[in-house]
Amino acid sequence: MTKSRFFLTRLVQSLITLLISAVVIFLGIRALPGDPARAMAGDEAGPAEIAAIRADLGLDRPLVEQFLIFLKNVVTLNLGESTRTGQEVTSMISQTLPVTLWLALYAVFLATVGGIILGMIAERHRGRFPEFLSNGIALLGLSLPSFWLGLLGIMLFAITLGWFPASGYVPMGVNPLAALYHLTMPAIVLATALAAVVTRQTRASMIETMGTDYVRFAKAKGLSQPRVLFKYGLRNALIALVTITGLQLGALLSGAVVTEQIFVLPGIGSLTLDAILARDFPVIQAVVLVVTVLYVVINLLVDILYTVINPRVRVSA
Amino acid sequence: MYQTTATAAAAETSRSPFIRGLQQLARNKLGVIGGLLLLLTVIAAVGAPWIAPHHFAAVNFQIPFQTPGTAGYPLGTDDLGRDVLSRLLYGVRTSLWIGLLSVAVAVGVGTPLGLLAGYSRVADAVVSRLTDVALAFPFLIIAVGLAAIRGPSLENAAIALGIANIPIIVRVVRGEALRISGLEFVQAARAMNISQARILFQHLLPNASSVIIVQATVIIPVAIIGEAMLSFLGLGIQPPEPSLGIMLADAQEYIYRSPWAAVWPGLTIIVMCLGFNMFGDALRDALDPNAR
Amino acid sequence: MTTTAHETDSSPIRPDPLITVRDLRVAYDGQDAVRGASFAVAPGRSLAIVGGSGSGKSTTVKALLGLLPENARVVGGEVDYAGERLADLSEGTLRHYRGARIGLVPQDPMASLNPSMRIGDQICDALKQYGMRSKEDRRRRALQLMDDAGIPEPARRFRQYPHEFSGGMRQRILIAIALSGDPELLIADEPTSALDVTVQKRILDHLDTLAEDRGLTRILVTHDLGVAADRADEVVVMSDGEVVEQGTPRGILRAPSHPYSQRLVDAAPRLDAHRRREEAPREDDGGPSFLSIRGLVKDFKIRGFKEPLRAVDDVSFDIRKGTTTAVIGESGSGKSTVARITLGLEKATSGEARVGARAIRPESRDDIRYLRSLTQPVFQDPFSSLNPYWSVAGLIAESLVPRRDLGRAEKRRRVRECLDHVALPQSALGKYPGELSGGQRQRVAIARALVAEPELLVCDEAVSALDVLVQKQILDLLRGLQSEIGVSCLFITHDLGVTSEIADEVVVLRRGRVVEAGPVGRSSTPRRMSTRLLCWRPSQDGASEASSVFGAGGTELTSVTRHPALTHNTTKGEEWNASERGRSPGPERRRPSPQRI
Repeated sequence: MTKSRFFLTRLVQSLITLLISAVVIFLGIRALPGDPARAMAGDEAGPAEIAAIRADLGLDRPLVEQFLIFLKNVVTLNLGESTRTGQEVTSMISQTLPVTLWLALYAVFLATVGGIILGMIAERHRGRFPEFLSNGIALLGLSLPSFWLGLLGIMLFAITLGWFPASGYVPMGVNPLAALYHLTMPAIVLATALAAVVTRQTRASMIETMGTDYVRFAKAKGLSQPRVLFKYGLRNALIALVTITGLQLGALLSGAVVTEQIFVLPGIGSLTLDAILARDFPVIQAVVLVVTVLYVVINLLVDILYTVINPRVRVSA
Repeated sequence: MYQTTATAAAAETSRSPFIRGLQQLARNKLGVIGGLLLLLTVIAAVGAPWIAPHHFAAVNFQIPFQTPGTAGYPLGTDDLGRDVLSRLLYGVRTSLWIGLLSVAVAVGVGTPLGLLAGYSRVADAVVSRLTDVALAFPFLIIAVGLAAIRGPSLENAAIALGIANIPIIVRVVRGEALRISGLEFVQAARAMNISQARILFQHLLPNASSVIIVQATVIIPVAIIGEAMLSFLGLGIQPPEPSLGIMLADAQEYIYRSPWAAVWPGLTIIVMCLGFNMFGDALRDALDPNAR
Repeated sequence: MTTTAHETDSSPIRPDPLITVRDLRVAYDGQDAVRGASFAVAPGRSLAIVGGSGSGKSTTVKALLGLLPENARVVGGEVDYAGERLADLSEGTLRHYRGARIGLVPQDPMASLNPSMRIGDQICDALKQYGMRSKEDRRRRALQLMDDAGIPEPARRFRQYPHEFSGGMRQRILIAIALSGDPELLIADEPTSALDVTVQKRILDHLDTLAEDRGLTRILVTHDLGVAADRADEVVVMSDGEVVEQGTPRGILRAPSHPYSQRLVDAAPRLDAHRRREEAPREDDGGPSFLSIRGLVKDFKIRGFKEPLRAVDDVSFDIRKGTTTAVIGESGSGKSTVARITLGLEKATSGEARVGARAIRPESRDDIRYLRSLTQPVFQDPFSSLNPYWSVAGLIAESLVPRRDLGRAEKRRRVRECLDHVALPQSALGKYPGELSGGQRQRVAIARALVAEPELLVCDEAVSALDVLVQKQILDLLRGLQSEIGVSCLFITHDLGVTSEIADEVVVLRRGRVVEAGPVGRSSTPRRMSTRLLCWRPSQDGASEASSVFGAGGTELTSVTRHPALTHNTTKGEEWNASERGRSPGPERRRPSPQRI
């Protein structure tokens, strides 16, 4: 199988995943307690009025038809209005999404860079203090709740030392530097868990690749140490790292919700929480859809990246 | 050559790989420390009703915000004058319960699916798509959905965390099943007319079990932190049920007045999770055939 | 330490050695692996270091290159290289010698190239290290080296990745890299043991030619005394970390003085073994046929290819009661597929199988169950053929599970009896596979097969993964058992020497077809083959099923159409199957796809 065929297969698989996800979301909404028509009509409404609203919402049609209508609305980005604010859901999402995306991107950057450095330090100094330290940091990163770290961070760096702002957001388009400055502490908090995973994976993969025959042969060629380390060691260790990181993105998005909450960032997470507390179902539905699509698309990209860094595409999917 | 090795082997007592793994575990310093932390956690969780000096919800408006070291309140009190130590102990109880419950869900559903996927091509395609779908919903979303449908509760939080971890178990078990069913002893068993069910339960499952156990020790701390996060956001356990996440959410409100209130629950979570993670690492070294 | 020196028959005037090793000692985690190795090689001459696994031969050369694993330390000894004393054998000190002055041809061509880097870049980055500044120069030199090493179309292959090359081609690339720094000394560490025999020979010949043209000094590490004798001026035999014998190859082969070398010489499977066997089981052609197979065909569908791959093509043979039929061939010849079909693990596409008078129809479950009830397998890898979680008693008793008619006590009795048959002590019953040696495990596997009282044992490369000495014990055991209980045996192997030791009849497969068949020692076939192979004994350690008994062009072959799946990587047909090593077209297992790991 060629690469293009591999991509095609992955694309079809992603579409199937999205379709099943849509079914799950659709059924999930139907499973919510309470009758939306009754809720909209109010307490004094008679059965006739409720029936009218029901027909208006399309709730009297067969389930399959309802699903198709739902799918059509999703594809045309016709996601309805917030019952809380009356705003278009699409515009609410487009306002909040960039905040979360920048936060996540920043966090992934910090986590991968930090994790790879820590992991490589551990591998380079096996059995000595730096490895012990790196392992300890990684274990701690896995074991602490990131939002607690956020609380401590605000106490120390914002309140006591005043180095970083405790809250607030500047759009990237307005002032990139200020935006990064405001996002730094949240991104670090969000990055801890992922950084811990990356550190451990890097260490394990590096130990494995540095023990392979091709690394030994590279040394036998008389190559310099950095060249052996990066071109032969890290380059191949990255292949395993990419998939692991891709799988962590769901956890990252969950973490983003609570991080935004602590640092009062106007992102998707805050939007979701507000919507949940107000039982604002159109918004909840939209957020779930967006997150699902995002996750599937990102993983597709990860797979493409994977084939780029790994010339030997193992095609047995 | 053969003779000498035979007598040498006869001199030792025989142990199954499982027992040998456990013995190796006992020699691993990290594993022993982790095990002790776990023991501490279990004692706190099981013994909470007896150890706790006060009831976790006993309010005393006379003594809010006591600092640690106050007589009768070793770790101080919160905004309502409740004893922090007692609330921590009960919080550990909740955390551990959630951790175990979600692992039970993840392993209970994930293991058969993983075995199936590793054993049959058709099942593999179906299970793979299902796990993809499950992965596409971050656990918070699943929890939110369940909370919206059934109302927030301990059980729903545990189920949500369990569902979110099913794909991990499926992937690990599937990989093991594939690896093992390719080994020659499974081929030999097939050639011997051993039934499929017997191969599945006598060969595949025991060999995959160590990986499942190791994975379980990874999932529990993830679930503990996940519960704290959900409860912190108000989507998990509801007051007055005790939870470390709720304690942290409360502490956030009066963080300027009483920073200690935020420190204790966090440290407790760390101790628990470190215990599981350290123990799990040592267990992996001792049991996981791929890590050796 | 008992080092016996033979008279040297080399030239009386010996130049100063290029490399002298004195009393080298290496320890792994405090455990001695090399205990005082000493030898010297004069410029332009070649030395072979011979020994079994664990003899310390590979550790010795790794130490010379400063490439010991992290848990190993050089604890003593000194090395003079080109008149200079090396300060130490650390990785840093030796980096300036590696590549530029000492070239290495490593053991495993499949694992020694960076999988994510183009071949050309891997040759060029060595050249860059040796100080070649211009990119164009490097490219030209690399192409030249590839051409010298016998890689066709170097310009095109320059841009390919390792996985696009066959095993033999990769080994040639490794040779090109080893020569790229114009070294004085070339160390070849079991350079071809992972390759098919035909390929092995051609590559070693090529390596010899290249080295001689360049006047290189050589150290060849091998487990194979035959190879060593063939290609070295001097031989050092190592055992258990010590040099036990040193001298000319002829001297050692003719009169090995140390017991270990004696055993090495004795244990190597001999092509004339059938003549030494006391009595052939039967002399006439009669005897009822237990299993007869006619016109067996097996096609495999390959993903991405419309045309199926024909792994077995019109194969017919008989196994008579109480005799052994060997099916030999190189990897990819379809021999393992024949074994799997005989075991009922694989369904034949067409063909006819008969057990006695009963026909076995591939599509009938009952027939397959019947076939499986008569046959028992003994597989190659003693490490994966036993479930590590089961005790020996449980392992052997497993074959009796389908026998519902036997009581517990009876089953236990039979298990014990079988243990005696394979010469294992009763105390082994409570052991787990992890506590047994490779040979002991294989005995357990044989006991497991025998306890079910099969009519036919199917041994799929049953001794290929074992050390030479253990191999001999297991073969003796199998032969003894056969004369004792009269079980028939289908013996799958790549090793003509082993065949000669055990088989009554031989079927030679090549690319799924029978090329020759007949009784051992009767037809001219083995003799014709053996002439080619007397000086070239197939290897026996780790190399799994990668060996062959055919000389290239030696046997006339009917033209066989090859499947594109097997050929799209290679330009010449010569090493067409080496890239398929480890996943012979037969039992293709699904592996976890990358995005799910």
